Amino acid sequence: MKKSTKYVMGFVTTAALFSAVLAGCGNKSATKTTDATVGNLKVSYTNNAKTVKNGTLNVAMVQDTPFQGIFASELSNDAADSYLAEPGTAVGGSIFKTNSQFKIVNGGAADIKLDKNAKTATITLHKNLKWSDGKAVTAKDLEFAYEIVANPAYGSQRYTDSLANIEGLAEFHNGKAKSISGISYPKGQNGNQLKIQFKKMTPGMWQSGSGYYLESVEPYHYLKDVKPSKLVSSKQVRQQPLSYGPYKVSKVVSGQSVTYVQNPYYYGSKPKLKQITMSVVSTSSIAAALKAKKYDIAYEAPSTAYPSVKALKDYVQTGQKSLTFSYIAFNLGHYDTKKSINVMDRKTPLQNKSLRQAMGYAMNVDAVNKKFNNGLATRANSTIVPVFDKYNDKSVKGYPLNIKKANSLLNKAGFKWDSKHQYRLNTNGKAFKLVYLARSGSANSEAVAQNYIQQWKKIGVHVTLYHDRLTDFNTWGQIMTNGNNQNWDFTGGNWSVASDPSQMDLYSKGAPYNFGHFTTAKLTKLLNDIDSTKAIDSKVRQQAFYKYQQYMQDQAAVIPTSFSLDWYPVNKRVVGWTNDHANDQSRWANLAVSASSTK
Amino acid sequence: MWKTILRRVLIMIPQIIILSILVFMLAKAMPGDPFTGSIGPNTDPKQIVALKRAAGLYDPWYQQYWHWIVNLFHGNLGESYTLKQPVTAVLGNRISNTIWLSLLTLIISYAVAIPLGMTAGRYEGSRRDRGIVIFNFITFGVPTFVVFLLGLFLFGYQLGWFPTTGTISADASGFIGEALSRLNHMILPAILAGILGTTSTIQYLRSEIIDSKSQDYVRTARAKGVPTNKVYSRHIFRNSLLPIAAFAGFQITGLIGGSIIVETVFSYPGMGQLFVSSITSRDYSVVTAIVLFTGILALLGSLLSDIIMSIVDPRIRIE
Repeated sequence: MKKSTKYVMGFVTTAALFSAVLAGCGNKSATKTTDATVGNLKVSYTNNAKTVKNGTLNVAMVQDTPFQGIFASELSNDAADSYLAEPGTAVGGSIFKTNSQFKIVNGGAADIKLDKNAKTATITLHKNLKWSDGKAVTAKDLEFAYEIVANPAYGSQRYTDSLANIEGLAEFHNGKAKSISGISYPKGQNGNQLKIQFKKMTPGMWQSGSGYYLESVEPYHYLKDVKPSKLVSSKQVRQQPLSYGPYKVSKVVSGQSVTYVQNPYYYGSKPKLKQITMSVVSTSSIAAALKAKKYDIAYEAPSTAYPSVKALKDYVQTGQKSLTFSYIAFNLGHYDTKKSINVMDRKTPLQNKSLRQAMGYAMNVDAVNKKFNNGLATRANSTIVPVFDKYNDKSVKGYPLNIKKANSLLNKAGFKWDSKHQYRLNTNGKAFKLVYLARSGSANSEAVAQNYIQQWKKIGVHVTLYHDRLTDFNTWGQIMTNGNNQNWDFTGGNWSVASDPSQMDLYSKGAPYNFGHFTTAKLTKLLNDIDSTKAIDSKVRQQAFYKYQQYMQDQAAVIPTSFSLDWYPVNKRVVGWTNDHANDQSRWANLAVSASSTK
Repeated sequence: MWKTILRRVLIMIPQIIILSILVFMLAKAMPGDPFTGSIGPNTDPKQIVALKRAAGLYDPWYQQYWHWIVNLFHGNLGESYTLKQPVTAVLGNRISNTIWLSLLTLIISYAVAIPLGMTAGRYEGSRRDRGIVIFNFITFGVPTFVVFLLGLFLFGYQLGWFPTTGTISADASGFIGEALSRLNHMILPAILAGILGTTSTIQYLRSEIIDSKSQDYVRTARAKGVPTNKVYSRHIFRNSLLPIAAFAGFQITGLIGGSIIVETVFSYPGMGQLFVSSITSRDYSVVTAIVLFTGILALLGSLLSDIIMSIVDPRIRIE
């Protein structure tokens, strides 16, 4: 799910907790797994057993609501849709192959060549790339994806300022131009090459998911006659979508299941499975479903089911570092909507970085993760998720629990202890209280918030909840996007970030999503350095990322709390399963089974 | 009677108008909007603003309301913001799922509750009665989601007798094949929900039968030498159905309401689940359509109950 950039809401129902009771143990198996791990999860599962012909694979999509079922990434913003489309496209839905850290390499459905001097990208489609109706995928199909995103009549949410860096796209979006001047066809519209002219080049362009260009393709010949406003609800993108990946959709039961069969026109090696069925399963019953061997793989299984599923001997627990991190942000100012900038002007004791640091050191994140996330999350050292191993600075340690250090920081900064009230006083000698805007959503939210309030009490910081209760996601979102609510002091949230690690959109001076409004001249420079043309050299960029993380750590601009792991239980009959992003293009084509039914 | 029905229907018009205004304003009063969940670093806030403006979310409420009402009269309930389909298409799909499941549930519920309620009332104080009362306490007291999960686990996963998710198998084909698959998917949730839904019917029926037993007309029937079985089936049973008949209208309209718990556990896409998810995602167009629709049905249900009552008990007249 590397293209999705949205809040992780993480609903865990009481029923999901109950499901843990329902699963038990199964039979033993002798197949092996590879050594690479993330936490307690294997990155890949190697099954050397002989595969069976005409095998079928059953995949569980774990969620409590029906899926939307829009098989056009330009129009969908649902994580489940992205997973459901994978057998017909690729993992993550990109046409480009990447290495394990999302750097684009040759060998996918299309290759990209970036010319930093000419400021162009040339995309070349694989010569045998065809749609599942036998027609060739063309340059026009690549361009059509831009039309869907940029033409407001289609109603896409994916048009961004980053895309407006393409020459002429903004004019097309505003209706001032009928075509996108920055997009050309070196071999004609029916050829296999598309050239994109940018206004400027940025280092993120070498990463998949950067958002500076699209990585999807849509069948123009199949969709051109659909009225733009009706495309999103049309049968062409909901019931009978075309695909270019190893499998094609044969049946969609609206909101419930998708069945795939082999795509005879697939450009790569012949797919090995006869059929794949992906079905929605509720969070409360997934553990029991796996125990009954109903499914081979489960997507988005809740961490509450992990202890039960871990005990099933017929399943291997695989996973990958996720693109999600959670954080605590401090309200240090406001967002000036007229100038579109963050202003760090709020009068609050939190302007003192020692207080922010102390609050970070007082948080028992490891204990919370152990108790509530069952090991599927680890304490974060920075805001750069560890899947970007090269850019995550290991020397930055984050804020491990250290009450002594927290107290020492506060003592040195002049927050004196008031023995009468059992809390500390502000540096000007007055009592102060901080308002924690904590979100509801999970069954554990209240317990976690109260736990942290107790931790902060230990260092003498008086914290109360916003309106004395947890805040629902919509209210929270409204407060955050408003940018001028001064009734809260700090909040917690999660970001699922893009596969380009740049954090310009999260913490820059102009970023509306910089909810804490922390902004300094130095931070602006450090963020600019990460995205500068010099940083096209990956070593320069690495150093820029390191300096950025060191500064964020020193300033405690935000407290990074946890990194999540994506968890996929896989039945031992499955052959070829890997979560390594280097195999995103070929994962589904390589999947097979070693037994005719789930073991 | 027809005059009364017509008058009641006419009274419903201002009620529906007031209901529509309330529904619309309450939906708008909820914090957040359909695009709140879309915010993220790769979603441009300007694009969100543009989409909100295009959807008319920045217009004054009365303009939005007028726009909604005008579309409503043209049979257009708008587009779902999150499901990105016409609301009529979304509702049409879910309502049929829910109606079939609810109908089967209701049939099973009455099929179980009426004999049990009659037996308990007739043999008051006997072992049979005590057994039925205990059964009633259990169905009343046990958390429904626990029963659904246990049922799903035992009959769905362990024994494999029933499908465990959705309304239809992915490989079902042909009209008969699909119909049978749908029925097969409904049986387990309907049996479980039906049994759990027997509590009030059994209790009302039992109490009414016990009350009726000591009525004068029963004594008269017995004195005339009417056989006991006939006394119960002809005299007591019909009179004891009154409170159940009073609820029947509401239960029939409740068929489309759906149940969030049964639908969630069995991943059964119905109205209950749609209603809750549309509130969570602030999908105004779906929320207002469902509330207005169920509101109108509640008004009709009340009328229907009165009509049923007057048929069951000729002494009751709607005037």
